[in-house]
Formats: sequence, C-alpha cells, structure tokens
Amino acid sequence: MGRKGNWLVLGLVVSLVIGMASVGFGATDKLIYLFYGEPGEADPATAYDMRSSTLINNVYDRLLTYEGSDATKFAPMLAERWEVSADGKTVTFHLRKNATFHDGSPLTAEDVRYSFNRVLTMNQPPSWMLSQMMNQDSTVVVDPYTIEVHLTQAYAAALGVLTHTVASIVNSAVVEANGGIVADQENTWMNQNEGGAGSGPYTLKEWIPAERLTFERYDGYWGAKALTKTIECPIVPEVGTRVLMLRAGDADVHDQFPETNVADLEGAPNLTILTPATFNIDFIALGCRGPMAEKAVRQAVSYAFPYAMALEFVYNGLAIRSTGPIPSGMFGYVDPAADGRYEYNIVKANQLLDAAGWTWVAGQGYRVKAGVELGMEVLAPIGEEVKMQEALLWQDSLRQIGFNLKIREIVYAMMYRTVRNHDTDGIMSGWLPDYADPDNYVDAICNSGNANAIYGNQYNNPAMDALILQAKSEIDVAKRAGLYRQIQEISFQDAPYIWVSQRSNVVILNNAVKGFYYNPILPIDFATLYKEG
Amino acid sequence: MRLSTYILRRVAMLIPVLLGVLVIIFVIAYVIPADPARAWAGPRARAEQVQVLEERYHLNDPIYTQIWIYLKNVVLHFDLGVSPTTGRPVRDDLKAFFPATFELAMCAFFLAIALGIPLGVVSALRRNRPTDHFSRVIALTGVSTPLFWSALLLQFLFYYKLGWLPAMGRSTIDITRYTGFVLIDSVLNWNWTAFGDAAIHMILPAATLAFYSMGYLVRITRGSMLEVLEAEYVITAKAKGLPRKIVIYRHALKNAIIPPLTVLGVEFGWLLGGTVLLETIFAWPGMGRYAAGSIVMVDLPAVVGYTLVVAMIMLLSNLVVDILYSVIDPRIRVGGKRR
Repeated sequence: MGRKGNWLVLGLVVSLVIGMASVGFGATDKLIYLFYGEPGEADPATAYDMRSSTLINNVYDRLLTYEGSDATKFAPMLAERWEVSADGKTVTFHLRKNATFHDGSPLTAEDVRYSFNRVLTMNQPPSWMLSQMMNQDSTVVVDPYTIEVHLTQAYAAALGVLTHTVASIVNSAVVEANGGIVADQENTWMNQNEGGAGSGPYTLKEWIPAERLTFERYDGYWGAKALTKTIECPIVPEVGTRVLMLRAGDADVHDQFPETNVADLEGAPNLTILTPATFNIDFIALGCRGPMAEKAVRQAVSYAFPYAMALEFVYNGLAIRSTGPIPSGMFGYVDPAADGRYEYNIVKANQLLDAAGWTWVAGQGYRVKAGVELGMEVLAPIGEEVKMQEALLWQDSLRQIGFNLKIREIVYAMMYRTVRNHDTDGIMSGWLPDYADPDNYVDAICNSGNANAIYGNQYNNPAMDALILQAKSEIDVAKRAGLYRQIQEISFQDAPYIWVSQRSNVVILNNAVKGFYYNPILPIDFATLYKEG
Repeated sequence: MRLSTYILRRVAMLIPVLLGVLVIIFVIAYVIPADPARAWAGPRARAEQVQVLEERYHLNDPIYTQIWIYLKNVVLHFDLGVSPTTGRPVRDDLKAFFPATFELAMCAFFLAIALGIPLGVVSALRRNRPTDHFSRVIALTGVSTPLFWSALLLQFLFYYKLGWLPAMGRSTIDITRYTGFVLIDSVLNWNWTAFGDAAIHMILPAATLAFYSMGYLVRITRGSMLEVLEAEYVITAKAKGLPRKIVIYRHALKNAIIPPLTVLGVEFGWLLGGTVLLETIFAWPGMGRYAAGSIVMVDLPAVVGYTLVVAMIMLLSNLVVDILYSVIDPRIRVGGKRR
C-alpha cells in the first residue's frame, strides 16, 4: 500500500474512534455549533458582544427571561415570580429554592445582590445598563430566597434590562476565590473560565482560544435538562470553510450566517435555512449640520433612497423595511400609514429642494444655495459590504436631485473619533439592541445627547427629548405606547436618519437537528437542541 | 573573529534592532487618528469608562513615556501588558498562539526544502527537457497562485470532494499540551492516534504554504545550479574524469546552494507572516489571526507583542543562515582579514 493508503487507513481509524464516541440511541450525544469568531469574555460583567452572550446565556441564569420566541412576554427563570410596586420603583423577586451553581452550592438572594453590585463596582462597558437604574444600595436581601430591587428612578424597561447577560447571577464564593471584585477592573480569571460560577443548563467545559469551546450538560440543573450532552463549538472565521463543513455534515447549527453567502448553501439537501427577522436595524445618520441642518433637505434625501432596490439587491431579500427607530415586533412599534413613511420618490424630493431655494447650477449636476453646494460626506465602515453597497445605491440616486454624496471608507477603530469630532457629516450605521425595549433604541438614537455622542448627529429637538424622558418612567402600558407613537411621528417629520432595514438572522440547521426556536433578543438556546441519530 | 564571538555579537545586535522596531510601532500607533480606548469600550461606554482605559494604557501620555513604561514592564517583569480586546495577558496569548504558527511554518518550510531543492537540481541537470519544463511549470504555478486561492482549492478538493482530509482545525483529540506543539505533545503523551490526527490536520495548510516557497526555491536553485555547472572548476572536474555524482553533489551543488540558502532565511520569516490568510481559512489557532484581529481593534499591546516576536524570529533565522554559510562554504569567513 502506498503513502496515500497509509493516510487513508489512519484517517479511517481516527474517524472510527470519533464515530464510536458519538453513537447514541435516538438522539446523538453531541452537536456541533459553529462560532464565526472568538467570544470576547466569559464574564457577564465585562462581555459585550454577540459571541460572548451566546456563551454566557447558556452557562449562566438570570432572574427572568422571555417566553420562547416571544420577546414581549417575560418568563420566570431563577425567580419563580415577581411583583412590581405601584410606583414602578421597587421589584420584589421570589427565587426558586432548587437552583444550584455548577459546583453544587445553592443559589441564594445573597448571590443576586453580590452579582448586581459586582457589575456596578467593576464598571465595565455593559455596566451602564444596571447603573442607569440602580446603585450599590438598590438590591436588598429580604430573606435567603427573596430580594428587593429598589430602582433609583422608575424605569419601565427595568425587567427587560434584567434579562440581559450583564444581569446574570454568579457564584459569589467562586468569584471571591478567583480574584474577587476590583473597582474599575475586569476579572481576568472570569474572562476565560466558568469553573462553577454559573447555574445554567450547560457548563463551559473547555475553551481553547481560537480553536474551540466545549459545553457539557449540567445534570443538576433546576429546570428541564438539556437534551444534548455535549455542544462542541469550533471557531471557524472563514465563511467558505463554514459553508463546506455545513454541506459535508460536519457542522450542525450555525446562526448569524452572512446574508451575502446564503446562495452558497441553497440547494444543499441536508440543510434547512431559516431567516427570522432580528431586532437589528440599519440606518444612515444625517449629521444635521451644513445643508443637512435643513429639515427639507433631510426629507428630500430620505425620499431619494431606493428602499426596495436595497432590500432586494443588497440584502438579498433577507431584510424587511424599517420605518423608524423602533423595530417591527417590539412593544411600541407602529406600522405607519403610507404618508407616514418615506418611499422612493425623486419627483417629491426635487420639489422639496426647489421649494427650499436650492437651485440647479446650469450645466452642472448639482444644486447650490447662497454659494453652498448641496451635498455631504458619509462614512462607510470597511468590512461591512452591505453598508458600502447601500451607500453606492444612494449616491447614484442622489445625483438625480443634484445632491453630491461623497463616500469615505473607514476602519472601524477610526470611526468613533471621526464621528465624535464631526470630521464627517454622516455615517452608514445601525443599532443592535441590548434589551427588548423601545427605550434602548430611541434613547440612543434620537435623544440629542446620545445621538451626538454615538453617531455624531447634531439632531436636537427638545420635544423629542422630553417625550423620550417621559416614556422611560411611564408605567401605564397604553400611555407609554402612545408616547412611542408620537416619537416615531416626530422622527418621520424631522428625518434625522434614513431608516433602511431590519435585518434577518440567517440560521442554518442540519435537517437532523430539532428543537430550535428563535427569539430576536436572546442568543441561541442550546438546551432545547438535539440531533436525531 | 571566532564563530562564537560572532554569534554573541549578532545576538547582542538584536537589542538595538528590537528597540528600533518598538519605537517604530509606537510612532505608527501614535500618529494614526484612531481612538483605541473608545473602540475597546464600545459605542455606548460612558466618557469616564473610556477615561479609565486611557489611563490604564497610558494613552494620553507622551510617546516616550509610553515606550519607557512598556520597556520597563518587559525587561523587569517580562510583562507584555493585557490585551484590552481579549482581556488576557498578551504573553499568555502569544504563548498559546505562537506554537501553532511556528509548527505550521516549520512543517511547510521543510516540505518546501525537501521538494524544492531536488526539483531545482534535477531541473538544471535536464535543462530544456520534459522534466525541466514540468518542474518549471510547477514552480511558476507555485509562485503565481495567491495563497488563499490554492488554500480554498485544496480544501474543496481534499476535504469536500474526496473527503480525505479535515477541513479545519489542529486536532480533534484532547491531549495534555506540554509544549503547545501538537505533533510533539502527542509523542510526549505517547498517543499515536493523536499524532496521526494532528498530522492529518497539518497536511492541507502545510502543503498550501509550502507550495509557494517551493516554487521560489526551485527557480533559485535551478538558476544557481546552471551557473555553477558552467563554471571552469566543474568543467575541470568533469574533464579529469571524476564520477558524475561527485561532480554534481560535491563540486556543483555545494557551491550552488548559497543563493537558495540566503532566500531561505527570508522565506522563513515570510512563512510566519504568510500564515495569516491560511489560519483564517483553515481555522488554525495561530498568532497571525490573532494579530490581524488586534490590528482592526487597534489593540496596541497585542500588536506590539506580535511584532516583537516576529522581528525576533526574522533576525534569528537570518543569523542561522549566516552561520550555515561558513559551515557549508569554508571560504566564507565571517569578518575575516582582508588581503
């Protein structure tokens, strides 16, 4: 037998060994989920990226969560039930008594207090979610299984915040034994390990950086046991490699698959492709300075965006139209009437500019007013193909209204300073929610202070700011929905952003994988997944 | 000068060179208009959180202070700082990722030598005959095919179509990792299944990486060999009736090997850097991927650490080549007296 033959035999032996380990009855013991990049940190107090939240969500529990795929209904998790006081300022949680951490120790109210105060003391990037509504004295232990959270001010989205990974409950004994809490500093041990600190359906058995993560079922879990014993997650950055692995059956589940590569998987007989809508929205920030300080100009460029074409060709039909700062499917969203949203209309755009006194320069392709040329510069982050294509489509269409759009490609890390220093006019951007509440969107995008800090958008409407503030603490659900309706109406009138799309999460499942459900605000839940073998 | 003195002097020369590299990286990082702390903290971070990061990483200090603090930590504590994006010490990250890259580069390196030099010699001996044409086509394909393209093609063929080799990764079998070099560790574990598994995972990335270097080596060896074969001493050797083998291997090749050797020194450094694309395609947990990710995030400690390691390897591999010169060709005396 030749050399090739030797390798074949060796390969056969290896695959036999691996195969024997994974044979089971009915459902397989192992499932392979692909990570497209490395998670940042495993510590709930520090982590602030999608991959990390997948890790943390399956390893740690929170007080409450959402009901299955519905992101508007809360469901019990570590807290069996809870009561909100009439003024909305106090929430009392009653913990279940059978919850244990992965080291077997019971999870009590003291751990909850420890976890929340730890986030506040460490003061890491996601900590603002808790610090906006509570301080060190907010969490009060009533008895070992009852806890009161006294908010510093009524916040209607408080329960939503507590479903975020930052509000995960950690084992105080494990943290104290491994670095404890240091003010303003991350805990490097917790960043990489779990070691009994969590209470979720899975333990983080192993994390080899840049190679793989392995999750093992926690058999002492208080709730329904996870259906698959081992979830193995190789980290595969190259999309082409992921495509081949999925097609060859060497990977079972993959979510957040890039829209632009869906065609590579279509027609694969062993795969199912799901494309549920996320709460992620894409929009263009219009700096509101120079010519863009004029409302009529902003409205005109909003009419000049080819929405349908962008959805079809840029997003491959895998996105829906966004019409305002709040995504469809979330509390507070209003589907606007035909005259309450921008549609592609060059005639109307030209009329608006004519009326505002912007005149065409004879023989030139642009308009001027008082010596100022009509136009702006927009930043497109390098690496986000979708944003660049959108900008090019828009640029082409803007020529028809005499508007000169300059597109500047920029590295992600340089974007912030450029935007904050107003070294540009606008930015091809978007928003990924932290928690499923409209306040998380409008406060960041439309509130004058934050819009300037995050998007360099000098939009400033005191009426808008007042409404956002009022809606934050409004406990009456119907009244609150009314406030968000008004906010969306003003955002249409003022047009500080062009609302482009609400994106899909492309989920690829091997046909043998069952038990998948999708919640737009939560990372994938490993516990319900299993593979028919 | 004696060889040992020469080596010592060259090793001592590493210090100013590395210092220069360090200054250059800091200057580049200093002048680019990025906002590292903001990028690390994320868009919604409050000003005071960004400030904490700026202070911890001395981003607002003058550049010489930044370099001084860095040097002090490296020299006194062998501390390369904590990466703000991975949250881990850079030293630990490099320790974890370096062996994977080094192991891959070494395998590719020896594969390229084992194939490239004999092919170049044969090609020169059978000049303008089918063997020569064949090896020149191979060499030309090697140097002109972009790395990512040959990687994707080989992966598609040997993993997806034929199913002979794994698509990605370094190993699937858990063993105790003593050195971080999986091939060596599996031997230390006396686990031959793991060794076979690691070897199978090595084939595709190493072959792809070797393909380019090999093409280059074939061309250089062939050219150099052709030149030497026409030299007078070779003709003399032939004329005095020495056996062909001795003429080729002892007289010709020994002299012809100097140019390929020079190339090899540079080539090894290239192999280390060239792995960035391969590490992405084959999901190889090496430091190229780590560096690329760090650059995007302006992760200064990680970028500086990576650059220092690569610079050091580059310098050392050139040193090894210089030493080999005098071993192979005694006429080359390092710093010998002029006549």
